[in-house]
This record gives sequence, structure tokens and C-alpha cells, in this order.
Amino acid sequence: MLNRQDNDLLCRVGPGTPMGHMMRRYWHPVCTSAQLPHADAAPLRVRLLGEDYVAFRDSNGKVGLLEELCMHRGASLALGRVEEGGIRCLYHGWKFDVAGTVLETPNNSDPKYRSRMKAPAFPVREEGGIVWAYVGPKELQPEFSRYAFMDADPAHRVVLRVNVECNYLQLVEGGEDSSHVGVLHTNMARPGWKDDDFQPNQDVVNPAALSTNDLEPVLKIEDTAFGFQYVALRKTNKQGVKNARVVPFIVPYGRVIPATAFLFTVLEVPQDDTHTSTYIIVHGDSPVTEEKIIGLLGLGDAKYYDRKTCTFTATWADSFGQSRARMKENWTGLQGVEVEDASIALSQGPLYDRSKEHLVPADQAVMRVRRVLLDSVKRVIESKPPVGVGIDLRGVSAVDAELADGGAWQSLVPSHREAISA
Amino acid sequence: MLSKQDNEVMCRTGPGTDMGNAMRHFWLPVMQLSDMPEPGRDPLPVEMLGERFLVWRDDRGRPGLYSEFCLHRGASMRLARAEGDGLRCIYHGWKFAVDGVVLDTPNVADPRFKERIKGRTHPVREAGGLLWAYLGPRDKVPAFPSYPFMEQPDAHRINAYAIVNCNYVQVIEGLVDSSHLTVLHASGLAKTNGVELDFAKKTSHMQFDASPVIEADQTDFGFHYVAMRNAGAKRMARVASFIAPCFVANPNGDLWFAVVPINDERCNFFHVWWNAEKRIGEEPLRSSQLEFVGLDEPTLARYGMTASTCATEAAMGWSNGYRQDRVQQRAGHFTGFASFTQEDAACSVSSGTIRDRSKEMLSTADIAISKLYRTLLACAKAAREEQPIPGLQAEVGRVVGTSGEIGLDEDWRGLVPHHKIIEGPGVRSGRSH
Repeated sequence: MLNRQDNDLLCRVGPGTPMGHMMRRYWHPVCTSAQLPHADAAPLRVRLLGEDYVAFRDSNGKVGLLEELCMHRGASLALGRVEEGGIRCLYHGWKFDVAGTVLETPNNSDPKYRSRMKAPAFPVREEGGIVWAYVGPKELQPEFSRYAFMDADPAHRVVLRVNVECNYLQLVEGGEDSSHVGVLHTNMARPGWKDDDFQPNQDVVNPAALSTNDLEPVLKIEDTAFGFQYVALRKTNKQGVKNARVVPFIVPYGRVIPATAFLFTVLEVPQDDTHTSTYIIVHGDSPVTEEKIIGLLGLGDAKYYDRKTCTFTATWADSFGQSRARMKENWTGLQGVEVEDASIALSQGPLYDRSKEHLVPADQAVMRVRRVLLDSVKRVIESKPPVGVGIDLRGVSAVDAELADGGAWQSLVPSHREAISA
Repeated sequence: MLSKQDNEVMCRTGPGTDMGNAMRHFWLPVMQLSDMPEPGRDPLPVEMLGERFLVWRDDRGRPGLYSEFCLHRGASMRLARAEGDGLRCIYHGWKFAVDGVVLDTPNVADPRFKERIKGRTHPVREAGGLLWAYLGPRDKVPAFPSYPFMEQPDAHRINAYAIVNCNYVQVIEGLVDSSHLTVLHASGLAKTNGVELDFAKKTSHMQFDASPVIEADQTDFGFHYVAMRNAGAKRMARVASFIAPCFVANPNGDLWFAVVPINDERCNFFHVWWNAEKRIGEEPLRSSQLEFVGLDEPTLARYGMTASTCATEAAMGWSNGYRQDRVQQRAGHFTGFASFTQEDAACSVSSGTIRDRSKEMLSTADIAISKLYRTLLACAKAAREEQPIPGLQAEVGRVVGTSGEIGLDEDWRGLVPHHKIIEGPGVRSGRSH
């Protein structure tokens, strides 16, 4: 439970807000590489932390990010022509390159005029199938943080973006919440639930496949350099052995969720206070296809996902496509992990008021998310660097494994502790 | 006339507003029982006072009204599983009975935990063909009202409702405004001449005097007012009662209304007719009554006044000319609308979703309208100051609407001797009539 003031502090990310200041200290995904598929492709409008930008890929394949509105008289550059090494505004023809150099100003022929100016461009990196940008204060630009998925063979990796119309924190909290997996994802987590006959799901790609039927996991949490890691311990039918799922929280909005053969890195990037772009990156040691992941997440159905705009499209207008007729056989009446997660988050409203909730011990990781984010905001207010900014994240991982009673759960992902001493 | 500020206070009923808090102290109709889900079936979403709820019956038939968001982490209960004795949130599986008992919390091992908490359900009652709910503070549940229609079996009662796409006050204004009847409903009243319905007989005389004398008194339940029309050496007096916060007893004596905000810009307009002698709830009486006033389903749907049509293009609005039939009007019909219900709704909706009362010009014919404003604002003020809310303690079961012939010097209040007047020209000192 949070009072309204703290709730606003955590949820509001626009320019001038404390959380907005904190978030702007990190590199953020702004689109997938696939959204700018080739040199001189159509430019893309990007909304990040309540501000608008335009992303474009120039003739050499380099990606640039500029403020959306042209510096001259404010027409949107997303209408512009992308050609010959830059983006050109349709209105009066001013042209800019990815670094913000003003290449041409046809309505002012003096070359000295344009050489004195620089367009508002931001540092961009393209890594792991994603375009990343830094929009914070120039003097505070951190190292680019690398994730493990960036080193994966592209054939062993799938990158998806899903735009969801609610505040980022609702989606983050669903990700640091082991106890919902066995309930909301019953269809995939506990096949046989209807006849009370638990059969583990054998799909090695499904992150909701639980190896036990225990709905009351015990949570343990430890702060780390990148945020925190927590374990959900579930009873198994073996004496003296628990099932342990270790999941990290990476400040400000990241997590890694384990499936048997793949890891799901999930980043809940705020477009603004009530819109979020969820980036889901699946990687492992064997080939995986986009079709497989889209099917698993329930996004193959056009009523849920518009692949062209990367948007989650279900709403209350059709009750999120929930089929009441199927609920005898299908626990939620929904289909797929992301469909269930996004529908639940949307059902909490565009910006959930946490002053009225009832948290329980199974929500400890949710509470820790809030605390770690508030701490990080406080650090920025005190002119200290926010939690984990600029650190190497390649060692951040997740695991679902057996753990003998008395064993240290932290030893399951030793790299998380190494990051502490780093 | 009201200042913009007072108008806002009177019209806004969402959570945390003064008027909304006042309304939440009363038992209010939620929906007609005939529209409720069958036992054990799926929960039905409803909106009331700007809040969303789920209506459900458990497998034993007990009705329940659930707040939208789960007690635990606020997922919508609209997605919940209907599981016999309770609704189960699909997020973490917490399960709640209709009376708020927490039946299961799968992610909390301690079995005593669920005994210490209570689900977000609200007290409900079934009476008079309506589901009633109380949404206010749990330590202040008032006595349940006992209106005469609640004693009638279904066969002797007609329940009907329309959805009107404007603020609730605009609809109530039309119910305490006798002077519009002769004008707006001229064509409808003309039809009453040859019709055998009781309703038609009771309203037929009104077509002959467009400027009735209006008087009103503040009462313990709200206010009552009279419209007196001359009829030779006698006067016909029609007395209507406004019962706080949103009920009206019509002068016909057998018709009661509730106007309950769905949100600030849309309301449910419930009608109840009753008749101890006639089986008006059965065919053909039921349909002929509803068709006469324009409350039959096809007519309502044509004007976007049903749950499934109120948010569609069928709804009366500026862009479709409020669905007025100008051809019919040129051919002699006064308004070009199907019947009373559509005429009233078109006028209410046409002032805008929340009418700006800083720009009106009330006359002596509008005495009851200003009484309505005063009564509602007094309710809002009492809620803000945590004082007793006007009307809340009144014995509303004895409040009537009525009409009758009186002599030219006779006090119309003799028609309602038991109404307790607390302010106005007719205030009585000490003794009762």
C-alpha cells in the first residue's frame, strides 16, 4: 500500500517529475531494429517519458533520434523525407543528420547560419535487435549497459515490442510477483488443474511452466548492485527439496524470467504516465522463432496484437476477448502469457491507485520494487548516481531449479552477488 | 439560477464529491431484478455514481454487488471466475462471497488471514422489482425504505427504465415541472382523450390550462409541490413529492420514479407503476402502458435509451437532431417525438450533458425547480459538514403523490395531511391536520 503522494511519485515520469529525472539517467529502448527495417526507411514517432521524438535510419544504416518537431517552425519530422544521409523536414526543407548537424536550410542560403546551429539529437546505440537512446543530461551520460541477450546468436533470439495502455509500474509489479504465475497463468502453469491432477508443462520455451503445484511460494529477497534479486521457494514432492525460481529486478524497470531452455528479458519502458512499451527479448542456446513466441504469448490473434504498430489492442470494449463459455476448460477464458498479464494490468485502470490495496507476504517483491525505486529517486535528488546506472548487466540472469533445504539460494545465480562487489 | 460552483456541487456525484457522498448515504436502486444474472452465471458490469461494480448471484441465488477492483492488488473483478459460492480474481486467486466473506487466498498460507479481512462488497436488497444497494459508510446503513409498490407482487407492478445521456438533475427537473406538460406533451395529452388507460385518464385534464399556479413546501423527506389548474368553480390540484436524494412520487398516485446517476453525464431513469386491483404487470396491460409512454423496448432502442444502445449512434444528440421527426412535426404533431419519454429526454439531453444553470431564467412556474436545487444543495452541504442529511431519516413509505379537486379557497395541503412540512407558506405549528 502506498499513499497517493508516493504513488504519484513512483508512477509519474514526465519532464520535471522526480521519477522522470531518475529515469532519464539511464539508456532506454526507443524502438526495435525491425521497426526501422532498412536504410532510409520511413521515420518512426517515438514517445518516451512523456516527450516526443522521431527515430530514423539514414542512408548508411545509422539510426538517429531527434526531437519530433523541427527546430525551425515545429512541423513533425515524422512526416519528413529520409534521404541522402539525413532527414528533411517537409515544411521548408531543413535537413539534419543523426548527430544533429544541420545539413541544409534551403530558405536561408548563408552556410554560416546553419553551421552555428545544432538540432536536438540524442546519443543512440543499436544492440540486441533494439535501438537505445540516452535523453538525460549530457554531462551525466553513463556507460551503455550490456545485457546477456546482446551477445546471443540472432537465430537464438526473438525481440518483441508490445505497447500497452497503462502505467509502467503495474506491468513491472506483475513481473516481480511469483505468486500470480500459478493462478493467472493456471492454463500453462498447472495443466490438469481442472481434475486436480497436476502435470508439469513440458514446453521448454514457456516461462509460465511451473514444476510444482504450490500456490503459496515463500519469498526471499536480497538487494544487489542492479536492484534486487528474489527467490520464490515452492514445495516439491521430494523430501528436503524445494523448487527455487530466482528473478532479478533491474532498476528502473527490467527483469529476467526463466523458462527451461530460454530466458525472457522484459523491459517496461514508459512512453508516458499511462502508456508503456513492453520489450520482450527471448534468448537461449538453440534456435527459436518469432512465431513460436508470439503464439506462446497469445499475440498471434489479431484481436490482441497489431504486429504493424506493435500494439496490444484488446480493451474492455470486448472484455479483453475473455470467453466466459470456455472458462470451464480454460481457467482465465484468455489465451497466452502476455495476453493474461497485459489484460490484468489494464484491468487495474490506466494508473492504478495503490492507496486501497491489501498486500500480503507473497507481495514482498512488489513492495521491494517500490522501495528500491523510491531509494533511487532519493539518490538522484541528493545528487548521487541512481541505482546500478551504467553497470554491466551481462551477468544478470534467472533460474528455475531444485534447491536442497539449507542450501543458499543466492548460489543459484552467483553472478548476481559478483555484481554487488563490482 | 445557480452559480457555476453550486451547479458543480449539485451535479457531480463521483467518489469524494459532496453530492456523491450524500447520495451514498441512501439506499439506491442499481438495476431491475429482471436484468440480473441467473444464479451462478457470470458477473454483470454496472456503473453507478461514477464507480464501476459487478452484480452477481451465487449458486444459492444470493445477490451481490462487488466493487470493481480486487481487495488484494486491484485487478478488475470483471475478469473474475464465477465459482459457485464466490467470485475468484484471476490474478492471484483470492475468492470472495457475495457478503464479502473471503473464501480463499491461495498465496497466503496462514488460514486465519482470510478471517481478518473483508471483501469489497456492498449491502444489497431485492424489493419492488429492483436491486437496491447501499454504498456509504458501513456504520451508517439507514433503514430500508418501504414504498407501497414493494408490497405488490410482480403481476400488479410494472418496472421499466430508460437510460438518459445527461446529468441526473436534468431528468428530475422534468419530473417536478408541471407547467411543461401542457406544452411539451400537447400531442401526447391529446391522445389521452379516447384511451382507456388509467394513466391517460389521470392526465387528460392538463391539456386545457398551460399556466397552473405552483406552490411548494420544504418537507422532512425533501419537498412537495402543487400545480393547480382552474376547472370551473373548482380547481384541479396535482401534488408531486420529491424524496431525497433522487426519487419522485408522481401526482397520478400510482407512479414512482428514481433517477440514479450512472456517472455525471448519464443516468438510469427507473419507473414503477403499481395497482393493487389490476394485474397491470401482465399482458396486454403492461405493453399498452409502456407503448403509450414510449418505454417499450423497440422505441427506447430507436432513440438510444437502452443499455446496449445508449453509447451508439442511435442515441439522441446534436449530430442526429435528437432523432426528431420534422416531417411528423410539420404534419401536426407538436414535437415530432414518439412519446412522453422521448420528449422529456430530448429536452433534458439537448441542454448539454451537464446543463449550465448560471445562464437560465426561472419564473414563477419554476418554483419547484428552485426547491429542487435547494434540497439537493442542502444534502451536499450536510454531507460536507458531516451533519444529518436532509431526508435520510424520513419515513418515506407514507410519502405520496396525489391529485384531486379542491374548492377555490381550499388549501391543497388537505390532500397530503400527513406530509411533515418544515419550511414554507404551509408550515404547520404544533398540531397535525
